Amino acid sequence: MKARLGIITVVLIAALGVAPLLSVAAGVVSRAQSNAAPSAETHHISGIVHKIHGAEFSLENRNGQTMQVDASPAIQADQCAILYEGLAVSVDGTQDKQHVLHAQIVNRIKSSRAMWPADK
Amino acid sequence: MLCKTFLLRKHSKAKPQAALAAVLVLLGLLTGCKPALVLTYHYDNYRSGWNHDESTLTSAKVLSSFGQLYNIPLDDQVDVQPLIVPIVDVSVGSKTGVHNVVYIETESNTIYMIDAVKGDVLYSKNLGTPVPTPLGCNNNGPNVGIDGTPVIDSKALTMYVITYTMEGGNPTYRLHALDIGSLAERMPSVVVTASHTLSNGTTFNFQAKYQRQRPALLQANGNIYAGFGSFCDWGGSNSRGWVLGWNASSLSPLSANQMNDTQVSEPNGQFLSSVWMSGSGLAADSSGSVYFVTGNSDKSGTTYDGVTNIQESVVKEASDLNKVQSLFTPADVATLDQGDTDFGSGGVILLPKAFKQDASFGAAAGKDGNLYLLDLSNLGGKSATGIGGTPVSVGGCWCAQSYFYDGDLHIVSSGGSNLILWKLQTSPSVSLVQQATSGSIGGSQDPGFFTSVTSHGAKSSSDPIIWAVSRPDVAGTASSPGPIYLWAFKGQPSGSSLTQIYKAQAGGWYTPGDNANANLVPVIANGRVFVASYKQLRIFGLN
Repeated sequence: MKARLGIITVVLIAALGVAPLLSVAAGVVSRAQSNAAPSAETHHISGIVHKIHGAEFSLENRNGQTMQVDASPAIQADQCAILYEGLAVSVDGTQDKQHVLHAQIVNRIKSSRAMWPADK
Repeated sequence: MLCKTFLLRKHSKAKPQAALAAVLVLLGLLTGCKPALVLTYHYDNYRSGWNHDESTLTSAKVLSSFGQLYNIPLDDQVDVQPLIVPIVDVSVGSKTGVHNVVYIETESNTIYMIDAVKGDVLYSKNLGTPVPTPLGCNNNGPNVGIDGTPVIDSKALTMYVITYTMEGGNPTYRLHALDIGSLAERMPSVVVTASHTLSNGTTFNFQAKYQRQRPALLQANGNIYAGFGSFCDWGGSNSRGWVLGWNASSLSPLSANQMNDTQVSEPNGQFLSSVWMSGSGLAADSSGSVYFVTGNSDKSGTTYDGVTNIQESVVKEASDLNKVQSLFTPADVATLDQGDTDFGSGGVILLPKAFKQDASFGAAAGKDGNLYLLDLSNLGGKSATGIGGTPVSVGGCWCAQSYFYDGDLHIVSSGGSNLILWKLQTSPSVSLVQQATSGSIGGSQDPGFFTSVTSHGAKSSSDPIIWAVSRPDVAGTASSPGPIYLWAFKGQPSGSSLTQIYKAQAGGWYTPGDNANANLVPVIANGRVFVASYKQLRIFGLN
């Protein structure tokens, strides 16, 4: 189970591809790194919604990489767009140890990537 | 030339008085020159987008000697359409006297009076602190202040405008009635409040925090009407689509109002059924009925019944707002709800069969790009077709149509990135016949854009020109917003094409987050073209 989680973590982190979000280089991560405390910093990521399961969805970022988003906090705060697959959104939130992005805000954004604000 | 001379001469007096204005109006009438007034969104309550009294800007002159005259800085983003009164006795500021005035309102709640001929800022007035990024929603500018186009009563010399202000920490809407010569309040402004009975008999109150007043205001039946939607579809349990009305003379609210979703519970608590129409105006026919289009409701797709919830519909409402008289709902309403595919992203226009006749038809398109033609006497209920049979495809429409008459009635659609010119055919059956298209005018926001049409009369020789403003292709920055462009096309097609006769940068748009779809509506009057955008107004005319 641990090994499986580790693989998932590696895949997720490799998929993120957002340098400021990660303390890894070139998609390679050690177990110590994956267990590092999550940053309290709020991140802002733009991407396309895929695979919605309840309040969770996967987000394909501008580089084509995928990350997992838990939109529960945003939904509870009435700050979540109506989600459907293919929708372009920006997500403001913090990451947990598993690099799941817990969204405080999910905003609909333009479908054109040229209009997307910078990730941070 | 006569009209131009007339308009320029009225500025020659140092301190012209109201009597002079009256004389100038009389002179104008005697000389056959009718200075155009733009008192409401898209020129009239049918929302035609058509000024048929434009004699200065011919297609030949636009091709040969037309360009930007002025670029006037403003204090914030503009989401409203410019309004124009060609003879105003301005009593405030340093340049009092009679002016041809263009009125611009910003998201900082500032109203500008600008000389439409000379480009001078005559006066400005701020009506309060705007609401910063309401609810955190980025589907608007950094501030939301005046978001819906005001309306001007030229007989009462009064502008009606709704502001959105922070008052005691609470977002608050106020309806103001302002003297158009001084911007002084003609009577105390009123806070927008309302309540409506839900289907179980309980009361639901209007909550300004959750409602966005985006559609242009409507003056009809002695009343002022305003539509309300949401911010980002957020707070769906608190936000519902409303149409409210007030007596124009007293600002007293009408005894009834329209709330589009009166259900008590819904699977996801997303009631909504908003009225937003990308900023287009509520429309009215000659009998006083009020028309608007609603957006999505609960994403379950299970809540439409045409009575307690009328999402994704063109609605014909009684003038006193106490009854839905008729509605049209596309048969795929459930799919539209499930995909957030608002029908109400676009406005509705009312169409006469011929010039200066009462409207007989309506036309509306939304995000899915299906343009439906409707019979205003009976909009048709839940249907796959409308009166014109299968809807025509115009491209995704965060937009509104325009129309003009030159012996035939033509609709100008502006979904996607292309203009399409349609002819309304009424015999042997009612339908839209595609005549011509333009090339792409670009724009990387959601699809669609806004147009206006000018002509000199309504005959085949009236030389119609279709004007459009494209939405930005890049986000830009606050100091260097993404450019937007003014386009002009001949309204009489060359084969199956619309011939471009002008293109130039007309301003910019800053998209820090999403910042909605720029409500960029070109306005043309008395030889001038006005485009208001992010912190600027540009005025074009003959060089």
